[in-house]
Amino acid sequence: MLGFLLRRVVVMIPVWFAILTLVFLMRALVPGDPVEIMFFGRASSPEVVENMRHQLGLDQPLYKQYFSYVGGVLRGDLGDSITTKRPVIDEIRDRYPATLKLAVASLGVSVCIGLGAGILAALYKDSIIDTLAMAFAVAGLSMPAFWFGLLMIYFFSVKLGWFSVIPDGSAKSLVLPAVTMGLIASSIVARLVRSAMLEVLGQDYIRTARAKGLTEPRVTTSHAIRNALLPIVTIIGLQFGGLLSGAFIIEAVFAWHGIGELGVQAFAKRDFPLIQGIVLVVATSYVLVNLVVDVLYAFLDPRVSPS
Amino acid sequence: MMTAPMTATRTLPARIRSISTSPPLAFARKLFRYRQAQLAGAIILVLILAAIFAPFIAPYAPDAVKAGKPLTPPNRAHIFGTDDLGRDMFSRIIYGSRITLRIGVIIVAVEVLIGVTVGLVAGYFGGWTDTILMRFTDVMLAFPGIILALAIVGTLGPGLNNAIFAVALAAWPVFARVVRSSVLSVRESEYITAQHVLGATHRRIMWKGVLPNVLAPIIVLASLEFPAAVLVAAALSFLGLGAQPPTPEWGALLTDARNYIRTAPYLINIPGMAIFVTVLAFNLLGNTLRDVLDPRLRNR
Repeated sequence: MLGFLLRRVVVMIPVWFAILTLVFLMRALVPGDPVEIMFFGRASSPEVVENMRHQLGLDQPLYKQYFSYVGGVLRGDLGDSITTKRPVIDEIRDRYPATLKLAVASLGVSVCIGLGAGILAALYKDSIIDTLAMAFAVAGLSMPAFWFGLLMIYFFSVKLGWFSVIPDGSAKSLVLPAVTMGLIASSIVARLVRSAMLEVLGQDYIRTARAKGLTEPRVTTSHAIRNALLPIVTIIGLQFGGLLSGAFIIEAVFAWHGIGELGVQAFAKRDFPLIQGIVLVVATSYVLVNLVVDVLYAFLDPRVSPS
Repeated sequence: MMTAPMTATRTLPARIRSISTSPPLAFARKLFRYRQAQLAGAIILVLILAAIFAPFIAPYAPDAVKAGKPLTPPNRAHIFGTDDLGRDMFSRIIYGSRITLRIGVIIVAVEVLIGVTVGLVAGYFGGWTDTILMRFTDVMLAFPGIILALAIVGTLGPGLNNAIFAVALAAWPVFARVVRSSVLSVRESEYITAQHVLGATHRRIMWKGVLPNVLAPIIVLASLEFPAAVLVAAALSFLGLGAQPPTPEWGALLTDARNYIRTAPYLINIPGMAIFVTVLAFNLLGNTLRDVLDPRLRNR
């Protein structure tokens, strides 16, 4: 087990370095002068531009910039934000917990609804339940998250007045954004859970379980769902990464003060150090979640670890 | 070792041949036997007609201010109402369909161009070429799609063209992966070996021998990527990073409308519905195409 864990971590390192390199190159590969772009071509004087270039280390050759960037990241220094002048790492640290809270809550919603709908659809294949669940799945896949979010605000905040339009970070204000994001994500979960369940239900051991006279609920719970759980863990893990990025849109709709909102502001203001920091942190989280999923998978399915 | 490619040689080409040799008309007949596809086809047809004949259908120019009294709810003169500047929403939605279709087509075309080329080259040549190209593809896939698109558009600056470029650049690795795995099974077939023996160049074998036999998964993926691309591009516009005002892009229409959520909710619901119905239609068509072209994937 430990060997497997170590192998996974070792495999992850070059991927992470490749991501780091790509994030670094983001600024280097921009057509035109990044500093001029940051000022939107309206810099007051050439000295200001020169100063900024020096401050960002852009007057150095590319390879030196790269090494100092990598060195900085490894020390936990992501540079300073151009708009707020604060260290990027502090900006992210302030916002990250809010995004994590939103992602975890959405994951909860999507797993509950997605699992329920997917399992029911598989158990009652080709029935009205299946049709409805799959219609829900394709509708969720087609739903623009920002419109759905605005609809939720319109009905539950404006019309019914159940929630405040401006969230205050409390548990209650988490409900609308988490349900919005969770419902959309649950459509994908439902679809994949259904197919995982259908595959398991067609296996010989299910037939054996039925043949030896087990009741149908027993077959479903202790044989079918238990075995279908393996691919489902992967799905849920991937969903979590998707939710972290989905937060960029949902946070903008609900004015939720997370990393996504910070990111959209940074993108609009061309705050390069902040953009790079946020992309790096989100991509790293994504890779880490994948690692956790892999390890969890091996833990749940002993057949995986030796390979 | 030998069994996997052998079975692939026996089963795959037969399945694919039946698809690629069936005339388009027969294929369409098979596709539109499904009710889902009929509904989707009808919606898409309306959308295409609206885009082509926009100047004849739209009663006003899309950016004509004071076409009516500002913030008039839907009525007989303005069936979708007017926005805060008195622009006719129906005309803006009709013209917006042009932008939406253009976005989808360009993004998918760029994705196919890059993804298919990378997948084809990697799968065909194998070895180091394959390793390098696929490692790069994997790193691209390690980024969540929308973050990568946001990062690219954030780097290049807001704008519709940059957003289109960003979405395409973020999504091509999916094509590369799928095409490569299909190429791997086709590469071992006897008819490809025969072309080698006949002395055909690599380029000829790749484009004339391999590509036509991996078209089915490409078509399926393209039809499913189209709605995804439209959705992401609309989201970028909504965030203010894609189409800029006064472009009547549907996602961008929602950005301005947010401020009128209490007084004029139709300004949110009409463009929102337009995006939803369009994406839904393409998703339904994509699902049916997948069922028809690649039955093995049906329950996925």
